[in-house]
Amino acid sequence: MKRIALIGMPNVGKTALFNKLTGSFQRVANFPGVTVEKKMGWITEKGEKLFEVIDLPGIYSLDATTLDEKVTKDFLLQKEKKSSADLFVFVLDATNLDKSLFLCLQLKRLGYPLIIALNLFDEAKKRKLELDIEKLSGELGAVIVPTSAATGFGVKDLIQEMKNHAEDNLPEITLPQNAQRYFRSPEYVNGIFKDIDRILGKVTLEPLRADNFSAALDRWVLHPVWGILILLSLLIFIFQLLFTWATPFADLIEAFFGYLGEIASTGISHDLLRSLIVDGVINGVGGVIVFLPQIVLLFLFIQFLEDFGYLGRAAFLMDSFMRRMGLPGKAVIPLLSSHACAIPGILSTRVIENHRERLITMLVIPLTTCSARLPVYAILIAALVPNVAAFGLPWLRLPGLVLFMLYMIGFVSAMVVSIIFKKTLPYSSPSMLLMELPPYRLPKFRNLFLVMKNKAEIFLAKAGKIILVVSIIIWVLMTFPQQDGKTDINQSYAASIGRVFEPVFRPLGWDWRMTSALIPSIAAREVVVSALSMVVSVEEGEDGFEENMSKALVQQFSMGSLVALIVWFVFAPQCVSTFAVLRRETNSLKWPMFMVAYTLAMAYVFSWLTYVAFNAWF
Amino acid sequence: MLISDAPIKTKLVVRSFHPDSQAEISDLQSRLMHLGFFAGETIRITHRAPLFKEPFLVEVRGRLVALTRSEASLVEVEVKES
Repeated sequence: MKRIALIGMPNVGKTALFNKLTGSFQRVANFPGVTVEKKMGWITEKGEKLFEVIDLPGIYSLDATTLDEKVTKDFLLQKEKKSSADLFVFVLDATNLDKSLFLCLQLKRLGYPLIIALNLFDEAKKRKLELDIEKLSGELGAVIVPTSAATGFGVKDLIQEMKNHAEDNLPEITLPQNAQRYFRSPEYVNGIFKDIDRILGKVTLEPLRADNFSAALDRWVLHPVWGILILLSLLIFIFQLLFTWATPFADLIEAFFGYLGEIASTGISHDLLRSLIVDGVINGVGGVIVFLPQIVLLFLFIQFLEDFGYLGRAAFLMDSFMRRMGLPGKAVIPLLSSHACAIPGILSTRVIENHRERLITMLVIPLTTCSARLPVYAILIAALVPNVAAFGLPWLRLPGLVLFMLYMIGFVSAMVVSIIFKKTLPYSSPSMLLMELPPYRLPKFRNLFLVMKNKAEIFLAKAGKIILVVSIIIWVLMTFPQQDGKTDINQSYAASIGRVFEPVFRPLGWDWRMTSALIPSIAAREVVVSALSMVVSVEEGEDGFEENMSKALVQQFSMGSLVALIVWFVFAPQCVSTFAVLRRETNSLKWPMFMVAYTLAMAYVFSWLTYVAFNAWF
Repeated sequence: MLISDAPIKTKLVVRSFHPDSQAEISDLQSRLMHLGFFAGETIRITHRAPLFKEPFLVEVRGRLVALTRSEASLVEVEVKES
């Protein structure tokens, strides 16, 4: 099968076009040896795969200064083969030819045969742009297909052009001597800019009307006062919605697992097997999957803001402030996405070129509140905080406000810790911001949907594997050893392990039940909910799982120890997957170990202080 | 003057993109140059972020580029005569 490389500069709608071309036939992997995402997909026709497509990271130039640029450059200029793809499709932004032509001309000068997708064509038309496409095609020496990833306009023609050129022979591509020096010499760069101006002068019949919408919106979004207020209210709004919007879906999932449990209870006669299936598997996994709607919604919001063009603006607004915390403004994006999950957060720190700043960002990411903490917070908040209006405002509920505060505590502690790291970790080179802010664009449902689908699959696969295994292990630890064929949880293995650690955690007000439930949370945080549900005897009631669980917690533990548990989860080390990712990204064992040690120390100290303070107060 | 000292919302012309033209071009300078900070280009500062009056948001060759104060002081400009 012929392989097609999709190339383009950043913010030209390349990924949207990739999604349109491949539909859902795609997968994400890493480029060999580095952690840059490699998106691959297949163009299909009547159910048959026609072409393999690789979506290369968008870059500004072949003069590679960032990891993304190096990956794309290495892919394009591979030495052993003539090149690594059979066809090269270059994506131009019709609404901004000036800025998207640079790389195109670089590749043409090297002799790459290109098929050009003139993307965002409909938007450019709306803004009255008239181009002599034939002339442009002549100037660039390439076929040009006007496309619109949003509506699908021109996509069929683009595929037809791929077919037309599928059998073309690739010319030998030779690199200039001392390539980097060549690509960054002022004469060379100036030559290309001159070319762009000359070509645009020739082919533009009617110039594009200015994007007044972006400029007008920026007057508000980047305003010194309104901009900050918009940023803060957006964050509060998102977290409020997470609780209200996700509830009906969560209720549905809960009802489904309740129904499954009933079927299994009546259908299985063997006592031990029934207990394994109902208590271990269905309740264990179900108790975690309930939180799928919240996690998917959070990813939806983050992706929406990214596609809309807002995340870059947030980085711009926060940069000078973040920099004084030892973090670059670009860390806003990793820090924000680590609120969904630390793993994409850590992976997205790759946008930070400076090693030291990147390390600091990765080390403090575990302090931000990942979505796996939501289940734990949800149960504990339900148990401790009455659902009443806050400050007399009926739309502002107290539980939502407490949740927001927990997020803020996590974020503020991440800032404080990074100041400490800034002052203590060895200094390397100065950092860069130098970032393009894309024009605002209405996010496409298709892109949002694909991201949500992807994240849901990852979460479910995790629930399916780790959480299923851990649920069964916990069940075994809690059920055995049996006495006279009966289970007494007080005599179980879990209780024995919990008792070993009990003295360590007694100052926090926890007994062995709590400590034995904490052990499996190392594997994945959300597991602590199902673990707790097994150690406390949850009574069957009319209400849902969450209500019953909350009631049981309040009855069986002191308030102080539950508050201390919330605080523990604000700081406690991330799951094993985070550890593994950090190990891979830092290529060392030292930093992940350090991360675990410092978060563990913080978790213990602050839980203890909370417990002591709570008991002194009430 | 440097971008970091230049007036906001005024058309500026880039005079030189790196003051010390003898030295090897650094990664940072190369990126500035590739984004269009090139002698003769017309640019405009559209915004300065709140709190610390940086970063700078600069319009150059049809794109908006955010620069910190230290990045903005690598580029020499003058006010464009109308």
